[in-house]
Amino acid sequence: MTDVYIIIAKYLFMIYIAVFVFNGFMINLAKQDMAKYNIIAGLSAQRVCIALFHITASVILIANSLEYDIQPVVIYCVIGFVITVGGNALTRAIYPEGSHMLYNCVFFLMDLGLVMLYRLNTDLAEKQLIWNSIGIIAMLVLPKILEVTPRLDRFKRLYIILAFILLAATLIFGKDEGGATNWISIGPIGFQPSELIKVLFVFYLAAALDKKPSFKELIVPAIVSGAIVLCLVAQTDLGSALIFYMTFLIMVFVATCNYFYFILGIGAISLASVIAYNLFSHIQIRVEAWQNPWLDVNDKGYQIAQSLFAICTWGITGIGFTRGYADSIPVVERDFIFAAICEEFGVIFAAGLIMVFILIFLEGARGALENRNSFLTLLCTGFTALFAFQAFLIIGGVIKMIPLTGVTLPFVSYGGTSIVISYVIIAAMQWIIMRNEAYAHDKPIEEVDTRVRHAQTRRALERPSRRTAADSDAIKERTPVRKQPVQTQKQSESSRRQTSRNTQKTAVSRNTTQRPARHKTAQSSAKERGSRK
Amino acid sequence: MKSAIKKIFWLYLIIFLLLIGYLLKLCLYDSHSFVANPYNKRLSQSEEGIKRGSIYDANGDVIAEDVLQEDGTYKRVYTNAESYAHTVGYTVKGKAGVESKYNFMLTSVSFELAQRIASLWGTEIEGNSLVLTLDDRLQQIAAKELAGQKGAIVAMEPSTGKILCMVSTPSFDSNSVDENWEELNSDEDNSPLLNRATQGLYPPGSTFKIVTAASAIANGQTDMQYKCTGAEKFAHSVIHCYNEQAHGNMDLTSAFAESCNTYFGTLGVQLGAEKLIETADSFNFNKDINLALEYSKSTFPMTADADVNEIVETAFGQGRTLVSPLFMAMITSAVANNGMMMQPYVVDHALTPGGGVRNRTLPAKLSQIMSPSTAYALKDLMCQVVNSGTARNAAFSTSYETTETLASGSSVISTESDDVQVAGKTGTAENPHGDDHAWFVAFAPADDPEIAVAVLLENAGKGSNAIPAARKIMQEYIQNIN
Repeated sequence: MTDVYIIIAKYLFMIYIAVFVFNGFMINLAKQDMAKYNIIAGLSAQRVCIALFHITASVILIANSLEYDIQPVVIYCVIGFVITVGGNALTRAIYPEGSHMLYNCVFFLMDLGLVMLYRLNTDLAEKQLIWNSIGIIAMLVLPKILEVTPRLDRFKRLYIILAFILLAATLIFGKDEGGATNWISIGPIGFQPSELIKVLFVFYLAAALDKKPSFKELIVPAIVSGAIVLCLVAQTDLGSALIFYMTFLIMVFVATCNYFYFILGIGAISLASVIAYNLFSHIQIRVEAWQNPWLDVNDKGYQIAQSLFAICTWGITGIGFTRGYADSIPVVERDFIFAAICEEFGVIFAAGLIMVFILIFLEGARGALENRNSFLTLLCTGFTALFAFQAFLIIGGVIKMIPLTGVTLPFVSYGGTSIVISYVIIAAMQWIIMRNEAYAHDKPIEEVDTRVRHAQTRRALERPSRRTAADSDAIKERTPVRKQPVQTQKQSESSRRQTSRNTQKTAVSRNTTQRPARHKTAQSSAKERGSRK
Repeated sequence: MKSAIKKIFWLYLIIFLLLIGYLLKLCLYDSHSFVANPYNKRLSQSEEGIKRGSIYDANGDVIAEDVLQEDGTYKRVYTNAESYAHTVGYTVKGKAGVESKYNFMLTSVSFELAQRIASLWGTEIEGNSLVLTLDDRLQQIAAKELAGQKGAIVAMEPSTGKILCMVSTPSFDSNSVDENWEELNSDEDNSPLLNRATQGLYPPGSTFKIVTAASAIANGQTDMQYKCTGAEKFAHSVIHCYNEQAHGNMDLTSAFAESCNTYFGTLGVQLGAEKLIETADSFNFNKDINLALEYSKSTFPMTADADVNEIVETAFGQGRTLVSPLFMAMITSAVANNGMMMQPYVVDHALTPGGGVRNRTLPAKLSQIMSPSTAYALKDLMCQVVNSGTARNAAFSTSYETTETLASGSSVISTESDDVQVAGKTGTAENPHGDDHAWFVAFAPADDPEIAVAVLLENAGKGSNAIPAARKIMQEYIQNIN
């Protein structure tokens, strides 16, 4: 009976993730005015998918333990449900203007991680429940704190000094775990400084690369980043080193718009990889295991071979939740959780999971794009890059597309620090999405009433929606005004290096020219915001 | 800055779509090459309450099936267990043979959802069944011929690599492996668990002259003339022909037909080690043959710096060369199949419980081990072995009944017979542990080969002792089966 249900559930899970991803993409298209779609209904459909996913999986977990002690699993599933659905509801209550698709993606991944971990290792799952709760609380509180924190772009030295203190601490007190020396123990709690350094690193780079840096201005950030990456390499934490390096490259590229730096950076990392390959035996072993795991299935190729067996043995629909051979997959709760998901939920579901990550990057890119403050834009870009490369490295490694570097799958893998930090990053991204221009560069603009300026940017950024006739009327009326923000944006970027007096004039004149049209646009943007929730 | 962000987003999109693409390709296309790896624990899955798939011979007769017992568990029951024991194997003690290598197929439940829902009303949940290429009629003839002695018989269809018959003796009863395990496992004199057809390695004896002759033909050295006196001294040792028989004036054809050791020793020296190694390499010695059963690689360890005596001994099949009966059948099939060696296989297809065909094995080429013209020339040499050489009693004819209707309306049944041209080669393998092993490899009919056979009888003396078994199998197959 249970088996029948598990097999039916296998297809249900595929449907849930398909509906979730479909709605995600449709919401995105609608936000870009490329398709008509009811965003509110789409977000609700996603939430229903998350809730159904949790319930369907919980029934399997409970049915499997009917012969044993049923109480802990029921408690776990109920708490999991409360955290997932309740946490998501709280985000709506506290931050109605945040990106709720991003919240939905996070809660979907989290819930998948929760049910998967309970199936793999109940002890770790219970801990993960606590870590997730801490993370969600952080995610709910942080935007409020960031909101009242002044001038985050001013503390680049503080960020980098803190980062180096943490790095030094890791090098001195670090513990070896899973081949990488990247743990510090404070009392009973294990702590992974490299996760916190990630956040500091992105803050530092965003502050350092803020004002379209010249080549000279790039030298210091490059040396600092190089030092951090080398420290991570010294700790044999290659995965983190790569994530940091790629984040640096992406942020430099976005800050300078210069292909040359990007290509130079890719060339440098390729050269460094070749040199590292020839110097270090542990890198050679990993590359050999990647190139041909079948040569030495029982030793060097063991991890990757077991992962591939798990992914491929049952075909693309998987064997069904809890029916897999997860015991045979190494480090299945952390690095290889994706293989276990492929085995039990099927490769189609796993492809949907990858698309959920794509949705997160879409939101990250939108957060960066819609922002007119280059510090915040860079911050958002950097955080998105962290997620993107972390997810790419571990999924690519587990499916043998690239050599394996042990990092966690964000929100899904077990991990204390990495889970909490992932929520912190999401909180920062949400804050950026919510407050597009809290910290401007141009001092004069700050002299203008902040509330007025805030409303202006909103208006400037939110493009008209074509959903209703009333809206399209508003567009027609607004047409001459619509050009204004584009123009001012160009102006403000080009005039950034001009004297402050000039800028002040522009800013003031901008205010005055826009004033007549404000009333109407404010109305339509209010509609827009309302429909986004 | 904005356009850079968009570009970066496209970069993410591309690499993540690549991840999805790679994942799907991995699962749909690449997985076949590694999922069957023995380190994959999922392959040895066994779930209680599932009826393991049955195994059938080529005609659909049951070889192995699960029978429901009174206590609700299943018991594996084998029919004609002794003749199939090595190929089909057993399900206990770590499993062996087809039962082991195809365990996953036999225990996988097709249309799982439907079967499991149906099982709520009491039907059995069944794994997939397998249909083998083995033909029970040939198996029983082979088992009868091998009865009472150690040896192995392998028959193949040359054009496909289909194994038609594979028997190894001494055998065992697969129904009672568990009970007799200690005895079976410790019997080192008979090693009944060893599949001599695929795992047994023997000196090829004169059957190796096929390889030496192929090397000579490929290298254009077919016109060597030689006067055999029954013995010849090479470097520091003397080589004898069988029974020290002096064959007289010999050319390649007559030396091959009479199996003249001294001729082939001289020919080997004339060819040299490198050419012999080259030919052996192209014949797939020392290589994996990708058989989905336990097997040993046939080995040809001679190196380019071998001394004259090693070359001579290797050239007529002694030396250090070791072959399995299956491998000799593959070489023989390749000669019959214009030089193309086919991938041998024993499982033709799987059947779902509803009777749907799954995973049909398509004949696959292993490699072209010699040119078609070499194969044709070898075929002629092998025909002469049967027509005028050491294997004259391999010739047979098929008889069939024709019904003729006379003008009066009554019909007359008359029996007609056709001579079948057999091509073959005998071999007598000297063996340091006892009496010579008898080898015979053959295929028939020579002009349109339907079956190739390799027979090995341990310690049975001269090669011609192995001929009758091969003849009976070929005759049965050509007359009654194909």
